[in-house]
Amino acid sequence: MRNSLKSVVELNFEDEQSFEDSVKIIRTEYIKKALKSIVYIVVVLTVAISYLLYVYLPYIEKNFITDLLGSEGYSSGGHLFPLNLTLSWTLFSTCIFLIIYFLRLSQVKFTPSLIKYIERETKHAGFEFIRKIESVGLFMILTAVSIAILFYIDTRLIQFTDTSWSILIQNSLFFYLLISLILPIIFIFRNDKFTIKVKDNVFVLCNLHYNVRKKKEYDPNLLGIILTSNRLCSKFDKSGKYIYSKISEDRWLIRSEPSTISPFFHFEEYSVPINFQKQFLNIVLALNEWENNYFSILNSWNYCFSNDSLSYKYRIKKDDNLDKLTYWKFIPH
Amino acid sequence: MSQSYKDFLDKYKIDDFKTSLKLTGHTKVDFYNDIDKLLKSMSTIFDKLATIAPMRGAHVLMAIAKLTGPNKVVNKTDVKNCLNIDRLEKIQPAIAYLEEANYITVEKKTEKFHIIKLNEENNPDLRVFREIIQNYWKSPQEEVEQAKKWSDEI
Repeated sequence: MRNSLKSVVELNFEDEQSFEDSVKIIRTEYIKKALKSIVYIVVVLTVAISYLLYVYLPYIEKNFITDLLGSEGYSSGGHLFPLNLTLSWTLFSTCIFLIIYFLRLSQVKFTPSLIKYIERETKHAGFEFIRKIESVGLFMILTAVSIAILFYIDTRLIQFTDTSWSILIQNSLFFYLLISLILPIIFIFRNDKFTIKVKDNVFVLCNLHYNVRKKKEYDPNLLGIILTSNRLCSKFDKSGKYIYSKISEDRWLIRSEPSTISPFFHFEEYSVPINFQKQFLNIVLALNEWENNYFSILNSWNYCFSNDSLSYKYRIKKDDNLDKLTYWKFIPH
Repeated sequence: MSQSYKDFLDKYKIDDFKTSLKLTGHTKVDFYNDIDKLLKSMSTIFDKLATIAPMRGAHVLMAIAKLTGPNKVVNKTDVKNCLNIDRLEKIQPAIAYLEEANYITVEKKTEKFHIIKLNEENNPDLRVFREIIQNYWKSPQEEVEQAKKWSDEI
């Protein structure tokens, strides 16, 4: 059923026909979204190239980076705009950021209808589905600072000389400009995610496994949602590893491959739309068990260490093998 | 004990007719715990198989088994709530399928009020299924309550 106000389609995966229809809708929305992203990229590139042609073609031997790094500073260059440096950097960094942002957006397969479906399922289970976009905010903050500094340079409130301090500040500024561009780009790939907040510092990440290419035969696993918990503990933590394995075994969670690059344990679960809520609850309850067992062990360790001096004083006989104490505390639910 | 039926038989020498089964003190508790573990594993297997299946049929059957009791009347809304599903339409195809397959009976009292029962007369295996589900299976409704309770903890 189409919602006329938001043009978001209500997806249904209850039977074969509804599933096929829903997958078709998702595919169409995804293609639309990807095309939109490509159009935005073309617009950004057109603006950037137009600016470059207009401003820099006649003065190709001079550019804003040589201006910035040049020991004679700003005063020697010929400029078309009064705020050449500020304008050039803002345009350059914004274009690079937007192009990468839209490229990434075109790869993200979550579409409005699918987001709505997961939102509804999550809400019904009593939780909230959130789209985290941290890169844009970070980029805006860092770029605002860059603009402020470059504005002062453009208006000659800040001037560089040949002294070592001046060169150091110049290099630091150049380094900052690079960071202000690279850091938000890293955030696009690492931090812009779809998550479900479970409680403070506990969340579940959602990734989509979906083959856009058309398949003739019915495949209920065509559309998969991979649920990943927040990091649990280091892979070198023996008691953590034991508890992680036990909970994963009991709840039939996907076991991470030993070759995985991440040095931390995460719970992982695979779901299709029809069983999304059930699989989500499975990972949430696994996190609950983790908290109950792992943190009780940490508390017992703390208790152990805090009573160490006491036991020495009163010569209390303790178990030699501390590992036993650690594993012993774990009681599966 | 590993959760294996063969290990269970070996541990208590049940298939060895020369040895008599003596259950006293600790061994009786162990014996009970081992059976409990096996049944719990079976319940998990039911649950996971139900999750793997593309239709909701298996979960609907489990919900009916969970809700069935000597003096209990189960209707479609109870099943919907037990599975924590937002709309009744989502379970209609599964109920229709289960009724057609003769696993459940649907008694239409009024147009909207339908009583659902497990068809244990035609499917005797459903009795042990019901017992396992009632004792070991945690319904989505119970899972949501547990998850919410934990989530709300500070």
